[in-house]
Amino acid sequence: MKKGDLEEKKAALTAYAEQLADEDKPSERSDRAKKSRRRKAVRTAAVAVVAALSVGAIAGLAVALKYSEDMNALRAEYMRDMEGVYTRHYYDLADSANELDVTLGKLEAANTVSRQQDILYDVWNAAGLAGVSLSAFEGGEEGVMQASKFVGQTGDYAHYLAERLDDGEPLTAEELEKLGKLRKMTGVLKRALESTRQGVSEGRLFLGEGGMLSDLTGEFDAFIDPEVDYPEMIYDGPFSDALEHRECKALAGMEKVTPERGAELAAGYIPYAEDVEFVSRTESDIVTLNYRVTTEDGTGFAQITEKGGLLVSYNLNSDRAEAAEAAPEFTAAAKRFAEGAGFGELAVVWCASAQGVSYVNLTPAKDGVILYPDLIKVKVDESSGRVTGLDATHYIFNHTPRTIGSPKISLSEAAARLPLPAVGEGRLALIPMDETREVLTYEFECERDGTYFVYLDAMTGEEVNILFVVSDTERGSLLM
Amino acid sequence: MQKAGVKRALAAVAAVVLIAALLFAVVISSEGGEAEAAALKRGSTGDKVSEMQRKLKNWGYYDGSVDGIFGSGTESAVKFFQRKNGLSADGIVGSATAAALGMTLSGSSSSQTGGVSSGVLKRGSTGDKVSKMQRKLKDWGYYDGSVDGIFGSGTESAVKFFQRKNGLSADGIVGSATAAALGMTLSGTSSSGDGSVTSSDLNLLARVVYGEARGEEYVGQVAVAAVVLNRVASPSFPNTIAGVVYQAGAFDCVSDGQINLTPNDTAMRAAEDALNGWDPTYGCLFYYNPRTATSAWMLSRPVKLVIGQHNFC
Repeated sequence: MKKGDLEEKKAALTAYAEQLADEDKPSERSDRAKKSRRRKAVRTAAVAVVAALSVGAIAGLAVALKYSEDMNALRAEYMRDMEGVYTRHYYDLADSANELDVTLGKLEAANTVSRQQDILYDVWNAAGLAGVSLSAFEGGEEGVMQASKFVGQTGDYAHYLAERLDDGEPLTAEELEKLGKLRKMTGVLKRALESTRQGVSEGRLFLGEGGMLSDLTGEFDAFIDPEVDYPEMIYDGPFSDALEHRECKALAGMEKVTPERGAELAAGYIPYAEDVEFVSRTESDIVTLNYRVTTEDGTGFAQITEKGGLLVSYNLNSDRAEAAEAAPEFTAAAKRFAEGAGFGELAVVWCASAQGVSYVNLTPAKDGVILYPDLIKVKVDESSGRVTGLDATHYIFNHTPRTIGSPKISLSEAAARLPLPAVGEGRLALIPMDETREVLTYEFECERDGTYFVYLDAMTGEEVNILFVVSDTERGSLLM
Repeated sequence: MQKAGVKRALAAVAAVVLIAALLFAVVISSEGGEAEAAALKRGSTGDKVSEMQRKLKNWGYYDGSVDGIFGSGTESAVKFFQRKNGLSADGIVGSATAAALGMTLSGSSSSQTGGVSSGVLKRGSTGDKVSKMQRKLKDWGYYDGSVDGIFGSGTESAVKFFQRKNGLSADGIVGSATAAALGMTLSGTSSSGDGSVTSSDLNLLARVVYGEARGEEYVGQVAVAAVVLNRVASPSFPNTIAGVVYQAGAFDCVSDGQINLTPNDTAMRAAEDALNGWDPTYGCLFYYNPRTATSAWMLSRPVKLVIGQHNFC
């Protein structure tokens, strides 16, 4: 080390010592104390803030925990409620399946008509209950749907047979065989419920992780392609297979029209159409050509039958808010429109008003007989008085040249059988019965604490149908 | 013991007072009712009115028809009779006038103000419903008589004219169909219970339409409502609207809660149309959005109609 270097260092140390001595002066000391106090205050504040924050966080956490605990409790409560709902439906379904099996079994042993009838009504009842329970399970699944169809048709068929026994027609061997097949299908239903029964007795739940609900839904897949022979269910009831593909009687023997020709026809049917544009086809039981129809009131949708080119449906929603009072021109306008669309001469049989729209029902008449199976409905917008819709589905399915017999009893004989006082005179009307029959009746409007339409068979005088007029403040009058 | 006795006495007094008040009320009300039932006045109908008209006619006070309806002609005749016989000429046949006519008014059948029965309006009906109908017929140019609430022959011809013009059977009787064409309901409150059921079905259906298809064109909304109703009619599904709508997993709007939104007018009308039979799909039981649908089974079904975002099958 060089001597010069040492000197330098000494000088530096001295300077440092002097500096330290300077800092120890009293004013400098108080300055330092202040600084340290401030530092302390900051530290205290920081600690306080941290403490407050942590207390807050802990409190928040506690509240959140409490809340989530509450929510969890609530959720658990809902789950238990739902578990109860599914369990109940499961038990009900199992009971009805057993009942269905037992009653169908008893039928094989019944040898009098009245016993058969009682049992058939029991089958109908058990099947109805089974249907309600089944509806609690996943609706979009094909298996559940097929199972529903099975119980629905079984009940409907039993009801049809029970009613028919009343007419003195005994069960045929073929019908008994069909009932036997339905009993075998009941076995499929019972087996589908089997594994769940096991689970329930082991204490397993329907919901939650590993719940049995999806398994049970899956079990119904046995109905998609059942191991037993499921009979074709064609009979006279609302759930008959015969109704799945209905023929359009009104179109028999008619030629197909092209979309271009259909557009011309549509423009002719809808007098105030400004533009008609083909959009698509519907390939359902009625095959239609579909058009978008531009009118002053908005854009409507018209469907023309591909065969024959008849107007089967027209619909437009005009958004005029102000609903005028019903005016008499509405029924006249409806009649004019439907007659103009080629449905021949029509009679107004009913009208009702709802949502600013008048719905007018019309039917053709043949030799003075009102033909209810061929009903056509027309909508009239109440603010403009213009027709905004027509539905002729019933006409397309049912209209056909008919031979209608002459009544065996007179109007006055029929009137004498009425249970309630009649309003005005009765008239002859052909009405649809069950799903496929049509019956010639006398129609009477009757009155007692409400309005009824009573239909008496024109051959036997027997009462075959009663409709009640429900007046409803929201929907106008309805027939039920 | 004594306290209980006092209490019992008080209760007895209260009961007596209450019974007395009730009896008084009954007497008052029955008196009022009788008085009203007895007098014949403008608007009254029935046999008593016919009897009176016949007498007035025989005695030369009245030259109208004996139809059992106390209209303005009958009223003038009564006033004429009263003036001539020193009675106060108010046109009302009370007990004094009735005595002078040699009639008794007892029996409740004499005064039928308010129409024949709850429903039908026909010749001889009176009351507010008749006035309302007359006003409508007059406004629309079918009737040029006075709006007096009495269904006489002039009103009857007007009703027949209206019926003929509107394709209804022209019997001059305002039954439910004619009333509907007139935009009136006839029956009172007798059936409102059943009615609300159907209203709630409409509302439920409209909520499904709104929750599922509010962005779709109108016919697409009608089609969605029609699918619900087709399911109700199908053996493969529950047999009520609510059963179909709330079947587990059946409609997205139920699982995501959109069914609880309030439907707009368009959805209500679409539901109403479907309930009235409009079904652009002719029997379809399903629809799906082809961009979001995942069920292979659903996608394998033949599509019958496409409207907007929905394939119907």
